[in-house]
Amino acid sequence: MPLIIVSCSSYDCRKELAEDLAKKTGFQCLSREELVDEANSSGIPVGKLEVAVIKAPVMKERLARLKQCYLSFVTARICESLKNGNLIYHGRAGHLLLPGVSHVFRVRVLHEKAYSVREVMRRLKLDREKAVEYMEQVDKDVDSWVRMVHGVDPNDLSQYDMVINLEHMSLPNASAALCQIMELPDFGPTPVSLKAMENHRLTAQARVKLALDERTSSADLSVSADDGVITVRYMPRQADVAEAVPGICQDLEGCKEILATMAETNILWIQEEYDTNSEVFHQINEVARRWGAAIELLRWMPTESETDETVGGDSGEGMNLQVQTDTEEDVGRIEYTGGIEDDVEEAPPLPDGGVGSTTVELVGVGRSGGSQTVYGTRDKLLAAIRKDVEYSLAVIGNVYVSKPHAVQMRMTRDVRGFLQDRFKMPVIEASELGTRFLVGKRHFMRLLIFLAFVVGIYIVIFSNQMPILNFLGGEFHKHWPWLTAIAVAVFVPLVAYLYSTVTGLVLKLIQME
Amino acid sequence: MNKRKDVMILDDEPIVGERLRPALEKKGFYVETFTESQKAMRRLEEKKFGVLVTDLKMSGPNGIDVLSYVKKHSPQTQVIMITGYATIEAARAAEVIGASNFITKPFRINDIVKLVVQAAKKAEQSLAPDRT
Repeated sequence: MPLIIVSCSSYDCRKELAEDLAKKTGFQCLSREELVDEANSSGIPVGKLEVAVIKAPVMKERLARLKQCYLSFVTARICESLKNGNLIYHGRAGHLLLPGVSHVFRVRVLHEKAYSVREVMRRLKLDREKAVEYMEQVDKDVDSWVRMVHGVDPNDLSQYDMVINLEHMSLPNASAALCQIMELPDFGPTPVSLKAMENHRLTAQARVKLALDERTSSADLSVSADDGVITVRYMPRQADVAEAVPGICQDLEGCKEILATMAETNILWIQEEYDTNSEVFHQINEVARRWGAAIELLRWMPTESETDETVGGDSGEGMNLQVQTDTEEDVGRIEYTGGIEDDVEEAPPLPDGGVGSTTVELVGVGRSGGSQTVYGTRDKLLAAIRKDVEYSLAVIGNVYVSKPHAVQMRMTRDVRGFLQDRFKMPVIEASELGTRFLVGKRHFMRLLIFLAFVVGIYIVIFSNQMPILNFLGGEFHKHWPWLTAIAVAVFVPLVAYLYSTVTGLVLKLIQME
Repeated sequence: MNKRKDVMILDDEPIVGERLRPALEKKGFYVETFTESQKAMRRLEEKKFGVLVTDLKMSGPNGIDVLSYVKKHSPQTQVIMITGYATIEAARAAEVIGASNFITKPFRINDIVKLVVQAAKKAEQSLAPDRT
C-alpha cells in the first residue's frame, strides 16, 4: 500500500500535481485542506492553530494541546484512508507526519513562480503585484507554522526522498517521473514499516479520542501504541482520568489491550523565572525523560517578611495562579453557539515569569506536571508543595534573584535545608543536576580514570599476593603490626571510594541510578 | 442615519446574527443580518454599510467573493471576516484584498464588538471628506 506525500509551498501546484498523479495511478487523493475541514467539523478548532503565526495566541498551553490533537487527527485519517488502498496525500508538512515508516514516498515540489502567481491572480482576482505580495507573505507564514508545529525547518531538503523543480519540467512529466520512481522496491512496504504505520495509526486514533472526550480533554496524557497495546500515561495530579481511558479507547480497531499508567515519578522545579533556552531546563527535561517523570513548576517569588506577601498576589493563601484552566474553548461543548461565546470576566494577565512557555514545551513532550505561582515566605512555599504527590526530586533553581550573588547563594542553601528537613525527597540546587544525574564528557573522563585506578589496584593485589599476605599476617606484620593496621585503615576506604565512584558512574551511564 | 453605525452581518448560520445583533445594537449600531451571500450582495448594492461582518465559508459566493465585491463597490466599508475554518492562506488573502480584520471561531462576543467599534471609527474617518 504505497503512500505518496507531496509537499509544496504552492497550494495550486501541489493540488494539480497530486490530482494528475492520482489520475495516472488510480490511487486515492487526499488533501490537507479536506482533513482540516473534517477536523473543524469534529470539534477541533484548527483555525486557532492556523492563525497562531499571524496573531499571537493568548493561551499558549491550550495551543500546545490543540497542536497535538490536530497532528493526531491528520495522522489517523491518513492511516485510515490507506486501509482503502494506495494514497496520494498533499499538504503542508505532510512528510513529517509518519516518521520511521519507510514505505512513504516523500516528495517536495519546487513550483514555477510564474505559474503560481497566475493561479493566485485568477483565484483571488488580484493584480500581479498583490498576488506576489500575498505569496511571499504566505510562504513566510507557512515556514513559521511548520517551525512552530513540527519544530523543523521546512526548507531542509534532506527531509524528502525526492525534490522536483518545476521551473524546468512540466507538471505532467513530473508526475510521470514520480509514477516510475514510486514503483521502486525501496518504497515498498516491509513488515517493519507496516508495523510502524499501524502503531502510528493506533496512537493517533487513541490521542484523538482522548482529546475529544470531555473527561480527558484537558489532561496531559502521553499516548503510545505498540503491537495493539495502547499505553496512556497520565500525571499523578490527574489520576481521575485513569478510569475513563479504557472506555474511551476500547473500540479502536486493532486494540488488544489498554494500559493506563501514572507517570512513575514527579520532579518539582522551584524557581523565580523560567526560560526554555536555559541549561537547567534541558537538564531537568533530560532527567525527567530518563526517569519517565513529570515536571511540576512551582514559581516562587520569595519575600522576607509576612508584610511583603501581597506583592503581585491576590490572597493570603499564597497561591494565586493555576495554569490548568481550560474552560470555554474546550472541545465537546454541549450547547451550540455558532462559535460565539458569551463574555467572561477575566483578570488581566499577570507576568508569568516564563511559566507559560515552559509549560507549553513540557506539554509538547508529554511531561507537564502542572504549575503554580506562590508569593511569600518559605512557609508559603512549604504550604504550596502538595503533600499528596510523591516527588522523587526537588530542584531549586534561581531564587532570590534580586539579592547580591553571595546572599543569593546563602539564602538558596537555607531554603534547600529548610525543605530537606521537612520532606523525604532529595532536594538539590539546579547547579548540581549535571553532576548528580547526567553523564557528560567530564563524567566519562572521571569514569575512565577511576576505573584505571581500580583495575590497577586489582592487578597489583592479585599479582603480589605473597608479599601482601606477608605484610598483613606474616613476618612483616609480626615486626610492624601497627603499620599494617594503619595501612589497612587508609587503603580500604580508598578502594571503597574508587569502587563506588566507578559503580555509580556506570549505573548513571546505563540509566539505572 | 450615520453610515458608520450601519453594520451588516452575513453568516449562513442564523445563530451568528442572532447572537451578535443584540450586542451590537446595545452599542448603538443599526444591524442587518443575512444568511445568504447573494441576498446580502444585492442589499450592498442598495445601501452602503459602515461595517460588514462576514463569514468566510458559505455556499454561493464565499466570504472572499463578498469582500472583493465590497472593496470594488464600496471601498470605505470596513470588512471583518469571521470563520471557524481559518487558514493562513485565507487570512492573508482577506488581508491583501482589504479586510480590516480576521477573527477565528470560537470567539467571545466582546471580542467582535471591539473589532466592529474600531472598524466603524475607521469607516467614519474614510467618510469624513464626503461630508464637507
